[in-house]
Amino acid sequence: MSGKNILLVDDDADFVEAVKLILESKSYDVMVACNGREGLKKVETEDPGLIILDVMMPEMDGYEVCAKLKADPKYRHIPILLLTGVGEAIPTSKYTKEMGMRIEADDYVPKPIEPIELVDRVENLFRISMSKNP
Amino acid sequence: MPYRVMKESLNAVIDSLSDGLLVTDGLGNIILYNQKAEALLGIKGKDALGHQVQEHIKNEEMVRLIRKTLSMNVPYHTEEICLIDFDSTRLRIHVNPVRDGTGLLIGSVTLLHDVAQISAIDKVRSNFLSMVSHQLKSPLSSTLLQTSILIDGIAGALNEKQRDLLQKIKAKTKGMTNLVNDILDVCYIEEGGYLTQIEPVYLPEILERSVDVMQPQIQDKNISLRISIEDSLPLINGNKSSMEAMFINLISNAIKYTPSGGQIAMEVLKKGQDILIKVSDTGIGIESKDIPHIYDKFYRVRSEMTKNISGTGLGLSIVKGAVEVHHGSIYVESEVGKGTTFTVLLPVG
Repeated sequence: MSGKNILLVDDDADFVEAVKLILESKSYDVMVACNGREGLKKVETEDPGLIILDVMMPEMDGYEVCAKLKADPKYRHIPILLLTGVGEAIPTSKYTKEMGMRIEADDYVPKPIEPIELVDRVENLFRISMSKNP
Repeated sequence: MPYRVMKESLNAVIDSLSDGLLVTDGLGNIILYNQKAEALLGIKGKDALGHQVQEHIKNEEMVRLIRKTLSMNVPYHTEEICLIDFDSTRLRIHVNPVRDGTGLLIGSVTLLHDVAQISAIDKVRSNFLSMVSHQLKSPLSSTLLQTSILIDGIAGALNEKQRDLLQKIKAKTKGMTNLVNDILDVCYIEEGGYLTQIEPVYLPEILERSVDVMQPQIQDKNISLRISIEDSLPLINGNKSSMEAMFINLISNAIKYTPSGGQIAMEVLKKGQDILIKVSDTGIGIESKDIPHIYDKFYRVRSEMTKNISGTGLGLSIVKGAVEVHHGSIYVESEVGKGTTFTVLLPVG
């Protein structure tokens, strides 16, 4: 376990900057990857304690990255927070929300999200993770 | 004019129609159709004359509507309208009963209208609209987050005036986000995006998911929600996304127009060949002058009681669109000051 070290994977630079601000204000260390491929690489090199994944990314979307990580015994334990679009009819990726739920991300959070909500979910995931891997 | 000449003129007339025409007798035997109907339905010459509809019309929906129109218990004037996709053509079909001088039902007449031409133009417009809306989502999302960061003081302390202005910006940005999402829902339904994802759907599951999404709003207003779902409901052949949009918008409206502490009741049960969905609230109700317009796009009731309720005016048009693509029907009963009930009927199978 690598302490309060978060990997954020999202291709939207403004959103990333905003999330970084929020999490760093709560003393988390935040690393960034701007697409799925880079994200997978950084998981290997940086060993994050938690991963926040945007669903809508070009080439490899969040569901796919999540599926790959959960299928790998080395990284399965890392909690994953998926940022999804909610309440809109258009399917946002070739994976459906149902498949996402079956892919076992640890939590789902709709975009847009309130800073307090995001921090709550992150803290919750870290808490659960700590209790599972003391 | 001799009968033969009259009959030939009549045939010439109906063969000149740009729409397909098909007439059956009271028992569902095909007794007349024009050249356009032949072409649209893939019938060879006059082969289908005297035969039952289902033998020559290879579209279950159309056969079902004709049968429904021929059944004894249809209202005097009725029209079934439906969009069907037949081979690579999209048709809008209108089915009406034919009655004799005494009002007795003696057959059915179906008009087949090829909407491909119109669709092409609408498609381009619709596609552009959904493309633009998609492009707007990310910047709106970041802006909302950045504004929240400022309001929460994460980027530094704010004075009263600054916070006030930012709250206003946030509210407007949220409004824009809702509008973009609603536009995308409307486009999805109107562009026929749902057609590529039709599958057996278990409605209670969709309902529960929608209620989950709306929980924060339900709790914020301290509304008590009662749900009653019949056991072993049959599956519906339909589109999950649009069903979810339908539930979410119905619940959202019920919440918005019901004062704090009010009640919402939802029921899902089987009724004959349909599944019946009811959403009732103890809200402010809808005046009869507004009822004919509630499904219109962007229509919002303007009154003393509704002036502080925000919304895009697209919710019910999305609900109606979703109901219609499933060949269902929707109706509303409301009493000002008491509440409103929306009832949706969706055919099974």
